This record gives sequence, C-alpha cells and structure tokens, in this order.
Amino acid sequence: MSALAEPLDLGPLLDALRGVKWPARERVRAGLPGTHRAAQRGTTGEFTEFRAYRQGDDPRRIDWRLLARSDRAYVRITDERAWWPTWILVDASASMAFPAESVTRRGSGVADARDKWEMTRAVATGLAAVAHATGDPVGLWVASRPDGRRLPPRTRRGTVHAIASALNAVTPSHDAPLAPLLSRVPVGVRVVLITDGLGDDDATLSAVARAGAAGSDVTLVHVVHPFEIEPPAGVWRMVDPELSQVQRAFGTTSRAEYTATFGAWRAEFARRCLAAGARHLEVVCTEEPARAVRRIASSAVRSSA
Amino acid sequence: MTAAYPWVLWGTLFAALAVVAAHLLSISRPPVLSFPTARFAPERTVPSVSRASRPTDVLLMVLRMFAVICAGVAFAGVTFDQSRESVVTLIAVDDMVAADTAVLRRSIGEVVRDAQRDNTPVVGIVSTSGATPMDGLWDAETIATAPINAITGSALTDNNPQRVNTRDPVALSALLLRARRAAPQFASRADSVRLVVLTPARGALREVSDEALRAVRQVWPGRITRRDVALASPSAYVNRARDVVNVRGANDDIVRAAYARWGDLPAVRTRVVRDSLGAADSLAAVNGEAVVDWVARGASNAAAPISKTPTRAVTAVVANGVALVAPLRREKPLLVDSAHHAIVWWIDGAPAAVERHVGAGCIRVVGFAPPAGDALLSVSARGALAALVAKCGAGVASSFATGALTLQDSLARSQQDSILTGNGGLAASRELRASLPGVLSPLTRWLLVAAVALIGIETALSRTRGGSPS
Repeated sequence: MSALAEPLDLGPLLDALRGVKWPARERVRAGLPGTHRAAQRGTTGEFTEFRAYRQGDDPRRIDWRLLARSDRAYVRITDERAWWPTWILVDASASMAFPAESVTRRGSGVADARDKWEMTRAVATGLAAVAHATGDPVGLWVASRPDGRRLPPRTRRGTVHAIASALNAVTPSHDAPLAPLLSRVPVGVRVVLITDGLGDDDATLSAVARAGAAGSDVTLVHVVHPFEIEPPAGVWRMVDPELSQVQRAFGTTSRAEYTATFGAWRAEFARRCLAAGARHLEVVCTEEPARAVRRIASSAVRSSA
Repeated sequence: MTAAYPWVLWGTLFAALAVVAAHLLSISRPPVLSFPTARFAPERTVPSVSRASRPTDVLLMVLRMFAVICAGVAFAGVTFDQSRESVVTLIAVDDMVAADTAVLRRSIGEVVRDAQRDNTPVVGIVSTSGATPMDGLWDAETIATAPINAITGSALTDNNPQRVNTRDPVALSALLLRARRAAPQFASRADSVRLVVLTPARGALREVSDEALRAVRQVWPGRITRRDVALASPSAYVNRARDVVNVRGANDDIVRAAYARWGDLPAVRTRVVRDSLGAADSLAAVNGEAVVDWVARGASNAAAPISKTPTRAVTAVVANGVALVAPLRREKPLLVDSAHHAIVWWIDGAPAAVERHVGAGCIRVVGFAPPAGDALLSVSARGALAALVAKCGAGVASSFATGALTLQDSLARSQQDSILTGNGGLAASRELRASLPGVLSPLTRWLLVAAVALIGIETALSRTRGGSPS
C-alpha cells in the first residue's frame, strides 16, 4: 500500500446509504433528544398511555377530555427519544494493509476486491454517515501507531467528511491494540469495532464483554480478504506483518490444511464474539461497502424485532 | 581425426549438455509474501525448483563445459594422424573350391574398388591355399597401382600345385584363421580391420560356409562382409584328400582342416580318430588301414581361441626333416619297443608319435594334442602330418638323428612362417582395434592439462561467488 491511501469517493457511497436507518435495538439512556427510544418516560414525546393522577403531578398534564368522560383525572405518558452517541473504533494495524501489490499481482479472480484498509474506511465512513443522518453524534478512534487518531462524537455538519479525512490520513502499520481504546470509550453508547481479529483478539473480546455488561451496544465487523480465505496459487514463504518471526512455507500440499484451520478460527472467533455479548458480522472485501453498511444497520433492526 | 574410443566423445557431448541444463535450473527459496494469516499455515518446508530463463553464471558454465570437453576428448584418444586410416580391408579368398578363376579375380577387383571408394583401402589378401608370396602379403599401394589382373592372377593360377579341389567346409575355417592371424599387423596403421570373405556358395555349400563364418563372427571385432563368386562345374570337384584321409571329429576340427589344407600329402587310407578308438577302428587297422589315435584334449577348435598368449611352452616335434614349432604339451607318455616304433619325435628325442603294426595295417598313437591356433595349417606341420598318414612301416627307417634338421634351421623356418603361424595363439580382438599408446600423445597431454587448469579456475571462481550457480 502507498503511504497515504487514495481518498474515498464519498459521493456514490453516501448516495447509496440515503434513507438507511440504524435504530437502537434497545431503549437508550436518556439524553439529548434524538431518534432512539429512551429508557426514560416523559410527557413531551409520543403518547403511549394514560396514568392516574398522583399527588405532585403537573396539573397541566391532566387530560381534561378523559376527565370529562370518566370523571377521573389521568395524565398522558409519552416515550422520550434520545440520541445515541456512536463510536467507531478502527483497527489500523499492519495486518489491515493486506493485500500488498505483490500478492495482488499473483492472485486471480479477485481483481475487484478492495484491500482490507480500503474496505474498512468505506464501512466506517458509511456507518458514520448513517448514524449522523439520524442525528446521533458520531466519533472515530483509530488504533494506530504511533498515535491513535481520535475524533469525539459530534453532530455538526462536516463530521462525516472529517471522519473520512482522518481515515485517509492513516496508514496501517505495526501492531495497534484495540482493547485499550475500547476500555476508554464511555459506557452506554453504540460501539462499532472494525477489525480483522488478528491482533489482540483475546483482550479485545474481554473489553467487549465489559462494555456490553456496562450497557454499551457493541458490534464487531470482521473484515476478511478473499486471499486470506483462498491464498493465491504457487509456492510462497508467508511472513506475518505484525509478527515477523512467524514465517510459513505455503504450497499445494499445505493449502487444504491452511483453509481448514483458518475457517475454524473464523467460526470460533464469531462464536466468541457472540459469547461476549457483541454482534458479529463478517465482511468480505468483495462485498460492496454500501451493502455491508446496510447489512450492519439492518442487523440491529432484526435484533430489535 | 580418429578416436580410439568414439563412444567417449558421445558421452562427453551429453555431459556438456548436462552442464548447460544444470545452469538452467535453480533451486531457490519461494518468494516472500506478507500474509497476516501466516500463522494458520502448517509448518513445513517447501522448496521450489524453477527453470531460469537464462543460464545462471555464464562464465562458470563455460568453464565447466570446456573442462568436460577437454577431458572427454583426451580420454577418447583423439588423434590427428593423417597417415592412419579409420578402417582398412583385408580380403580372404577361399580358393580351395573350384571357382571360376576369372570370376574370382573380377570379384577381388570389385572388392578393391569398393574399398577404395569407401575409403577403407585393402591392405592385404589371404587365401586358403596360402599362395601369397612368403615375403609378405600384398600391400595397399601395390593393389592400388598395379593392374588388377596382374595382382590376382599371380596368386590364382590353375597350375598351383598346392591348390586342391575340395568341398570340405574346414577349408573356409582355415582361411578365416589365416585372415585372423594376418589382421594384427594392419591394426597398427588403422583403427579397425574389416574382413571381406570371397567364397563360392551354391546349395549346401552355402550352409557349411555360413557355419564357418558364424564361429568367426563371434570373435571377430570388426565387420565381416561375404561376397559370393560363381562356381565352376561341379564335376571339377575332386575329393581326393577326403577319400584318403578320413578324420572322425567335429566339423571344425583343426586336424580335419589341416588335412584338408594339405590334401596333396602322399597318403594311404587313413582313419584319424579324434575321440576314442573302438572295435571298428581296430578292425579297420587289421584290414589294412592306418588308424591314428590323436588325443583331442587341448584347444583344437580353429576359431575359438582368442588369447594372444599361449598357455603351453613352445617346443617342437620333428618328422620327415621338418620341425613343427608351436606351443605343444605332452599329453601321454609313449614307449618305443619291439612292437612300437617312433614316427614323430620331440625336440629332445623322445617319441611324440608311435606306430604299431596290427594285421595288414597299423595303429598310430600321437602323444600330443594339436597346438592351439592354426599351427597345423602351416608348412612346418607338413612333416608331422605326412608321417601320420604315410604307409604303415614307412617310418621305421627314420629316426630323430637322421630325419631332423638342426634346431636353428627349424626356428628359421618357423620365423618365415610366423606370419601365418606365429606362436600358436590367434590374434586377440584387441589387436584388431587401435589401442591407446603407452605414452600419452602431445595432444592428449595438453588436453588433460587444459582440463585440470579449467577445473582449478572454476573452483576458485565458484568459491568467490558463493559456490552454487544458483
């Protein structure tokens, strides 16, 4: 990959995501008015029920027509809607820079596949756009070396572009753990982790479990490249970009064993995510980013339904 | 250019090609790819052999090639001796059979012309009758310059006293023996000797001639070509020798060949027994025949021996004033008494063959086996052969002292005859092919030095470059 990735073309992506809703699957904490059903009940939102008047209620909330019909005093109860801050945590370790050009030249049949970092940028930007369109503050935190980039959640105009610009300025390199970032994200918010799971997966999943227990809604987007599922033909000496001491000779005789081992690991990773209380979605780099974003957003709807 | 071992040159060519091929292959480590999921690949080694589009390290390849070529050419015995031919031709003429002389001469001329055209000049002619001049066989220059009729006519004249008409196949065996003996002297001027056999063939005669040739083909290293000439009228055959001297033994028995060769010996009805005497043989002796018990042990096959060095001591037997010098072995002791008298003697005076009168005939016992090779076909053997088929009692008056020549005279005669008899051994197959000289030729020396030098340079260069061409 080049030092600075080519900027994303936001136009087609944002157009494809117009009208996509990303509702919360549970009642959110009370906060500033938003679009998500809040756990707190109030009097200014959508009418939900009548309650008998109690000492101390505001008399102006008494429904006079019901009083006239029933000769009993009732107050109107409504659901409050609040906004839901969304944090997008992005893994920018060296493994996210796959595949390199040398691998792309040798591969076949996956000419249209984006590299993992490009897919990550597109999905992150798309999710930010969807959340921002519903009025939720969106923030970004990139786990990168030497310094992680952090954009606190905002609802102002230009937030999506700022997130896109911040991602364009990052080059995946080194190993950048996600768990410390997740531990510092406020609780009770929506968190999206976009990672390939090849870094500190144990620590990350532990942090995911703690965040879920604390009330945060965590979604883990697992980015996988087709070459990782089916390596290119030939004889290679594979070297882990984050762990240089891990080197393997790969050829025809080891292909079947690799495919089985990697597939088993992916299934196990998904199971562990679910066990930690997070939603797990696998995104292959051949998928359209807009479609992946819709799938992520709709998974919340299905879960809530 | 001639090569003593042409197959070495072919091997050198293939070795050089193998050097080039080795430089087109490279065993290399697989390319390195940054792969985040490398940890999921099993740990195993996977070497890869790839074909290089261009030879790796051309200089090393050239050095190795030339080293292989220099060594190969040196060991192949390549010489650039213009005076040495690759193949020469030796003609063997079976003139014991009554072929048309003119046709025979014409056939010889055709062979000479064909040989000159094929660049395999004729270097000599041998015949069954032994009618070539005793001072040497004809050389190629004589054949090339003189008229063909003059050359062939001098040997094949109808008034040759030694020429006897016979259909005995052992005559061809004798001819081939003579050719085999004559060939080594020409091997020094050529790489190999080709034998062309001119022999009449008609009906059954072809079968027996094929049988004789088959035995020689097994031991003759060069090429044998047979050409057929016309036969004269069959009525011209005279089996005089066959009617008089009957040899009971194998078809290729050397004694049989000797009596066919020397069919003009004065002889009575004689039965030469090469196996063991039987009652019929004794009865024949009683009835007036001369029965000769000639032990068959020892190499009696005319075409089999190929060992140059004889295993017996060279000695001599004397009879009728002629000494046969050859590797002979005393097979059985013989006594001379009132009933037995010697007819052939060893050089030390001991009896080599004795005669005993039986009825109207006699039984003769020979105490030595026929010598290996074709010694019996030489002139020196006539004395002993004649004594064994002479009239019974004819040898009583002769003795060692009165009948034998001096040893020096015997040796002088045997030297004259050495071209055709030698020391009893036949030419080894190695003699008919060129052999490496005892001292390396200058060209071979320089080639070996060059090969060693190239190997040294290649070793030093490959070490400085890290060893392997890949």
